[in-house]
Amino acid sequence: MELFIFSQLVGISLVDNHREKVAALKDVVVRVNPQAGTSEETYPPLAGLLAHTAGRDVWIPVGQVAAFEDHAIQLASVYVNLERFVRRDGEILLGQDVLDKQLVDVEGRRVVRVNDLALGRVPGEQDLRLVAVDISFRALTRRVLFSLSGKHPSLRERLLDWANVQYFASNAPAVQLHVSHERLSQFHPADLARIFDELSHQQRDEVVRGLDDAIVADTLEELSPNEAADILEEIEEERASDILEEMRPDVAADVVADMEEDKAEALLALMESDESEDVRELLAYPKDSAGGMMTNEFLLLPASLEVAEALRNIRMMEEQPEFVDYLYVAEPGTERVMGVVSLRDVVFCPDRATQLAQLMEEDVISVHSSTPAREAAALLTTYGLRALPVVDEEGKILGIITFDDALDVLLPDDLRERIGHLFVFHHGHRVTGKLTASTHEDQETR
Amino acid sequence: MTEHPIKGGTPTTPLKAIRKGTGALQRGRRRPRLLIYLGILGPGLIAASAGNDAGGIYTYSSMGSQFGYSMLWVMVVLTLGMAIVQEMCTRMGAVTGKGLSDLIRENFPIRITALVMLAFLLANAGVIVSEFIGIAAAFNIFHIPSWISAPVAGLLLWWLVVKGSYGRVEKLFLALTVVFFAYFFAAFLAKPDWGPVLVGSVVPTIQFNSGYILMLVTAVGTTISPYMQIYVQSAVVERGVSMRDYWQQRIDVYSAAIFSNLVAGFIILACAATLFAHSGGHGVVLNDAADAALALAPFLGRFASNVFAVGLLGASFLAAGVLPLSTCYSITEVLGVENGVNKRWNEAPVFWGLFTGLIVIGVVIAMLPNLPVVQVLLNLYLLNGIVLPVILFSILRLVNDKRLMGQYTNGPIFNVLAYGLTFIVSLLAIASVVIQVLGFFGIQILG
Repeated sequence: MELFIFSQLVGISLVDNHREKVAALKDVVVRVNPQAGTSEETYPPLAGLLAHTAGRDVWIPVGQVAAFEDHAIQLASVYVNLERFVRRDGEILLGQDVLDKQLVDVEGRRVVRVNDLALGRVPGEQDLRLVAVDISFRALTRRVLFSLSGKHPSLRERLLDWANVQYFASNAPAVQLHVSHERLSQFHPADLARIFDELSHQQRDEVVRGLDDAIVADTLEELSPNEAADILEEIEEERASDILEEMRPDVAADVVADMEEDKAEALLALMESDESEDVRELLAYPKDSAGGMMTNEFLLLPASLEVAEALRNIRMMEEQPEFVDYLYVAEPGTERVMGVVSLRDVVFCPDRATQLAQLMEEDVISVHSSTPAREAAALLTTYGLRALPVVDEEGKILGIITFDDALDVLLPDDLRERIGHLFVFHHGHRVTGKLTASTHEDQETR
Repeated sequence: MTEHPIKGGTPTTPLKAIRKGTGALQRGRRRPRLLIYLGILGPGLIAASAGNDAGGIYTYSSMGSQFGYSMLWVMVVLTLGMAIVQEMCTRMGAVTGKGLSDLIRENFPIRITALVMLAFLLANAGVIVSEFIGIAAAFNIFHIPSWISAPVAGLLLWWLVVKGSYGRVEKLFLALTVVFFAYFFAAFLAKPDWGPVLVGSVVPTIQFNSGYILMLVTAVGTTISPYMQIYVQSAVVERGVSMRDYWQQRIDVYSAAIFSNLVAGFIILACAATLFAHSGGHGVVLNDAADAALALAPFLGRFASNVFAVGLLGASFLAAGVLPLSTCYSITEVLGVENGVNKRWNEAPVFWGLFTGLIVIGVVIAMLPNLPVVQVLLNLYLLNGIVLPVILFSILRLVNDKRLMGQYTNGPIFNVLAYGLTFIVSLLAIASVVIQVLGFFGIQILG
């Protein structure tokens, strides 16, 4: 496929059919398909050229362009309509709105900067389309040191297929643009969170607008509460409250705690009442205590229940808690923890009529809600537990601390960051799941 | 008996009760207000304090010891200048959510971008070299030769950053710089003549000799360094400050400018009241760290040079740890190549190569024997002052761009001040280049 490199097109002559120069090329205009990424038409077609002649910028629609040649662009007619260029919705200027701006490389899952652009023809078509971006360092040096490094791009330059990049409408603030962010929603939330870190807040807010509530919620969970609060404050309240509902209550509480009080109250008031109650309840505990670290979604069943019944009840739950490895067993009629049993033991129990009281481990290690967070976290690792119940003075269960929350407290900030990156990007293979899951021994429950 | 699993639901605790409640419920998870303010009142203060680094200490010391109280007014003007420039950068950060170097790349033609970033790199390399010279000079006071101290310091900083543990020692370095508050006491104990101090602070006097003009440009380059502008803008972006909580940021910037220049002013005052006064009003040119430390003698007596060395060490280490890294981030972001301390060498060769290169240059120059420390430092900051107009014009161009800033472009009065500052700085920079070039050919146009 013959490619036209944008930086080399700029400035070349537009000639009429007598091969006389009538103008010089200033910019190239393409039309962005709002469904790009989901529909067939991914490559933005050429809409026209912006040319400079007689001290003014004129608009040359694609219909008037006869041919792209090596050193000139041939126009179809003798006349150049001296029509001033007015931006139309959905159109972007390659030089002004794409070149030197940031995009997301969907394959590489990273933010890149556009060093050059390539136009080409899709097989079977006559019109030019924007087909690729050049993100290589070489393209940059070629543009800076035009005369020294030769005119033609080397084949070694990495071209990134336009089908594999995500463009931001906020890169072209001068025009109304609809860009689908469908491809970003395929990302792992941890990848999205990392990309959010590199984007400007306009770009980030734009992506958030284009994603589902559930995906935004997962991504916000990966960010620091402070960053998540900043993002939520930019979203209209009705939607922000929906997103908070999708988040784990302990994370949501951290995020809400970082917001302005009025805003926090407004969002909590808009949430479903049972969801907001979970959050409000957690908000009451100081951040660095066991209560501040816990989540209040867990499994609690009376000791007198039989295995078959217990499993049925769990299955009937309206909201499934995130953590279900352990089933806490309560004194019938109360919320006092008597014991703990792993869900595995319940599932594999051969006698369906066994009571939970017979299966459970009675020696439950628990902490009071005011225990310092570090101490509680240390307890988890000492006993190799995956979760630790948090109780009040009477032994009533208030919530649980899961090992991933404990890890956040135990690992120093910089180390955690480095480990995250090391594992996620090891040789370009993405490792999903929590990397620490294997380092914790399963608790032996009998 | 409860039949269904309980999803850990206990009675409602309305948020209002949490805030107004008693005992353990009070405040709860909510961060205390004060911390939030401290969190925001940060970037400006840190950037401004970083200005009082090795080069800053020497520049201000030289201003005082060579020209007495007559340059105090410069600091008053520079406080305004610094406030104006930093305010523009924080505003750009808050409105666009992008760093200064990103904005330059996205909005300037590629060759202008290359030129601006080259100027920036040059200025920063100069500052980095000056920090290593500062480190070596501080160790010299303790009789450790620079051919040992400079490479060891370079290796240590390189290793700390590569291992990602620089953040942990940063506070130690910051704590060491506290000793520079000694200048406040030294200035008072030296019993300066307050009349001339006041006159020198408010009445602008310009001496038309090359030494004075060069010192003026150096003072500008030290106080409004290019790197500070980039630093303060990226810090604002990093913290996600938006225009809604911008007023706090503005207070931070202004108070930081006043605070850091007050410190600078007292360094000048202390040196003027001691070194300049003792020279009988002729002015004395500083040669090494020990000379500069003499200004602290009225307060610290024979400990003056040791205390000075400790402060110098802290200030130089602080800046030498931050600058190479932040320079590399700015440059690689503009180039669009891989960066980040968590990347390996083969993933981000430009980033690590540049980082290592900057430290090596600093170490090698600091190791040179018989280096006229103060003169080299002053020349490095002169370089900053010469490069500054390029950065200032870039900032002005961007901050007045309606497409970027919308309603938050500069107002007319602000623009008059900002452009006025930029033109004066440019004139001074041109004058200093002319003086230097002619001086090189042995021609002196000014006394």
